[in-house]
Amino acid sequence: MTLSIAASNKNMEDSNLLEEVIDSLEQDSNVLRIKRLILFTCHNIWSNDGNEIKSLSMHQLIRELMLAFPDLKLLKQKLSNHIKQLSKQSEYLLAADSIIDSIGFLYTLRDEGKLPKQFLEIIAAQKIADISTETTEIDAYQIDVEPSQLEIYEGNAQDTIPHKHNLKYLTNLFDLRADICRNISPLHVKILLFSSLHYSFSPQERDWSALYAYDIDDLIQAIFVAHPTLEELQRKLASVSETLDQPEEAKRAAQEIVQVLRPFY
Amino acid sequence: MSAEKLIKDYASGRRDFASSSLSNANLFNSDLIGINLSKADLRRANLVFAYLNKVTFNHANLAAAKMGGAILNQAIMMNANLTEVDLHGAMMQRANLFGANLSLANLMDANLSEADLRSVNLRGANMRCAILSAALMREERGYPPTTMHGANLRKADLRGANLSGADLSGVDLQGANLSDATLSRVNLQGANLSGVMARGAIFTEANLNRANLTESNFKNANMIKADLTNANISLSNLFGANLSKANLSMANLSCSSLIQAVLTGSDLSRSQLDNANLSQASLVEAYLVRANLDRADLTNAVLTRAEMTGTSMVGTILTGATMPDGKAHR
Repeated sequence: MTLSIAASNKNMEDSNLLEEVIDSLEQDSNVLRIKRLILFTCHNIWSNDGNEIKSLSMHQLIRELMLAFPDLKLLKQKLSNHIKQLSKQSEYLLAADSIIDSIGFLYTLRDEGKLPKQFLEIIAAQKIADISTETTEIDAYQIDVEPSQLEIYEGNAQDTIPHKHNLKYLTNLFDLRADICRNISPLHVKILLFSSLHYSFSPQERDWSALYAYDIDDLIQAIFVAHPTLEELQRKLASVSETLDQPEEAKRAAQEIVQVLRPFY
Repeated sequence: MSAEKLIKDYASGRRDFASSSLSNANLFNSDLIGINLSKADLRRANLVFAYLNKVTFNHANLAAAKMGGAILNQAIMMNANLTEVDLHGAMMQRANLFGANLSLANLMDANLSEADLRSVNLRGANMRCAILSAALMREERGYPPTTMHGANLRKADLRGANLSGADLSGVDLQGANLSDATLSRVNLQGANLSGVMARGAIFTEANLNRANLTESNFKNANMIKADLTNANISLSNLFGANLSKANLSMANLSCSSLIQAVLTGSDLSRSQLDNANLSQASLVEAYLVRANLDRADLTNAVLTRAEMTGTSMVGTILTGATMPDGKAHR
């Protein structure tokens, strides 16, 4: 009995230490670069999208990294090689320092048997590599040609590649905006989107400030995130269209929106 | 003239309403396609969602009119007074606004693709997220240039637009798309272009003095003879950009990617190029006096006849570089 309590206390302590390390990395001001660098180091995948990177679990990333590089020295080498391919080297050197500082401690804990057992069990580790379908797979050719392009595109969605809805972001909003607003007044589109996301807006209202608070890109992105399936999106837009002052225009706007967002589902 | 009379007469087939007095008229959602309202007084009129395709508003007074969501495709609005007009989310494709006054107008999310905006006053206008692709804003001889001083152009779509000679000093272009746009001789002094996408854009002889160009993409842009003195271009992508004879004196290019960039004859004196990637860049006859090249990567770069007095080169990578004396780096 006493033994099992002691064992469970020990497990708790171990897992607390682990969580502390993970938390410290999660709270690092350089967290996006840390995550991006781990993803790149483990899977040779470069993601351009901040939201996507943000959504990656640090716990999972660290587990992947430690499984991929059981030897800390090897990890240091690999990190330093990878950074040489990037243009924001100084920023990534900082990220690498944070990784080595924190994870170095985890390697010590591992060697002392102080890491929770299940943490480094391969079966338990869901492969983050699944993300590869949505992100830029970097091949040797690209690296040879334009190494420093990789980091530069950070924040520029124009250069990202197709993705699935579960990543909750759209690429090239400039094209989407132009396509949706080609044959219908952007204001009809905005009112439909705003009404679907917030409350039914009437153009007869005196106060338009709520509508001015969002630009059309914000609303397109938000409606996409709010509806995980195309059917849900269609249903929502159709039902809201009926309630608006100009239902015919709203329905046309709904058609345009669905048509343009369809490839992202 | 009352709004009711206008709508009635229009319905009976009349189209010419030039010089009509319609200030404060409520023409919400009305269908007035092809109407002639030249020189009409439409101050503070409500034209929200009105169908105004191919209307003529030449010299009309539309100051502070409400025109949100209106359809103005191919409308002719030359020299119209549109100060403080609300054109939020309006449709204005191929509209002709030559010489119009749109100062402090709200054009947020409006679609102005292929519109003629030459010699237009857009001072302080809100054009956030507006579509201005292939819009024409180039300076026309004998007319004042289009001015957007202090305008908000955040996330605006300016792909393929022609802005040559326009005054964009102090504008906010954060996150805008300027790819393949022409901005020759444009005045962007003190403008904020942070995060812009400007691939293949033309900035020849543009004034970018003190502009903020951080984290932007100028891949393959033409920036010949551009004035970039004191500009902040750190963390940007200038892959293959042509910066021949550009003035980059005191510019901040830290951590930028200048791979294969052409910097022939450029003035880089006192510039910050630390941690920049200049591999395969051409720096022939570049003026690098007191520039900071610490930890910069100049692999296979060409520095023939470059002036490097007082250039700081701590940890600079020069593998395969051709040095100022024409010899390969040892």
